[in-house]
Amino acid sequence: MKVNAKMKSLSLAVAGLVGFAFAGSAMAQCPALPGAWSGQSAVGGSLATSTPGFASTNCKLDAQITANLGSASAFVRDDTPAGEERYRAQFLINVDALASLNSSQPVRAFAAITDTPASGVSEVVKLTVFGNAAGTSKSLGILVAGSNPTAIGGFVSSSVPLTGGTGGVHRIEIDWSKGAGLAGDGSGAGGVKVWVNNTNEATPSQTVSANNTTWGGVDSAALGLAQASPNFRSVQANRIVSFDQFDSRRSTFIGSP
Amino acid sequence: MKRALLAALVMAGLPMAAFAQTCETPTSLHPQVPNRTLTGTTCGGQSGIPLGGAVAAHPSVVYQFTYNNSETGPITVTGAEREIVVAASCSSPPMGGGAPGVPLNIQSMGLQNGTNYLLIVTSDSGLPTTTPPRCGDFSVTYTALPVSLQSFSVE
Repeated sequence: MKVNAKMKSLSLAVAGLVGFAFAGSAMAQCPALPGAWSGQSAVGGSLATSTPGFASTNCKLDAQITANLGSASAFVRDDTPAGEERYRAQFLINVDALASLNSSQPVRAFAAITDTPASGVSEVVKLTVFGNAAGTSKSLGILVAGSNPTAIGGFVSSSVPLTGGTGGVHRIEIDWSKGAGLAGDGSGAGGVKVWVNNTNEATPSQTVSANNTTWGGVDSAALGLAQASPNFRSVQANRIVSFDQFDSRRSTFIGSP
Repeated sequence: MKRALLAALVMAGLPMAAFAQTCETPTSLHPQVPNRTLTGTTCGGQSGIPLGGAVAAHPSVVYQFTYNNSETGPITVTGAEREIVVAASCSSPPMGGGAPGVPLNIQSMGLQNGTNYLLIVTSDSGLPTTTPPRCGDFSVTYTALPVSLQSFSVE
């Protein structure tokens, strides 16, 4: 499929931000934020770029919550999408610094947002990070806006264990689409497919079907920490979550770099 | 009144999975008797409870209780792969969670006296969802999730 020019330029711009390649220079300088991003939010939190990046890039994005405020956040924002009814995105994330993260400490790591919300929900899909009750394993929460009878608070939800990866770095990819619901085999429209450390398009790690016809398409994306739970803010404050290699497209599977 | 109380006690002694136990219709732990054990199965329970991002993806059963800080003690869940969370609602982040065999001290969670909360029994979120769903038996013991008997009369 042809990649929308606007989305392609986003991909390149973001790669320029966090995937900077300075010809292998050990003295690489990372660009100042927001750089190629449309904007940033750091309220009760902080954002920075640091070296080295992941997967042989020179720079990565570091986000942390620093204050126990209900509005605490630390994310960058991309306003390039324009009512996209299909939206794919991929990024790398390392949450190893979140020691003993448990089930009472969820935090949002990514969201695709519409300017035409429904049921009071503007995030058409969001990904969270949280742990099990014992704090011995981490998972990726998947919440998709939907009007299904099973939706709670406007979301149809599932999760995928954050296992695999390399050196604590996980490759996450989503394929969100607008429609009445994905068919049982994952084809059709309406919902999201998620790949975690999995670059086989045919076998997503999780598929969540949702009837999201009353929502608009994706108009922006947020990468970083937000909606930190009270226990996250009190226990995981000042611990860095790092991101790299954000890429977004309209229809082409991203897969391996 | 006597009949109603007897009915409540009989209900409390039945396997809890026989009732709705969803976010929409949680099973009330009131009236209850102190120092008891709930038993049941999460199979057939509600899946995909968002919990403010700490998604309970596996089948789960939902109870509701009114917190009383002078009467409520620790809660312990047993059952392979089972775990519990306490939350204000199915959409809000858990205020605490307990792994099997580890007492969950709900008095340290900052719960408000006289307020309703949910006790959700689910399965370890670190385990992948499967077909058929990952679920099974559990028991939950508590030193008290009580309500004081407000009135009693004999007809």
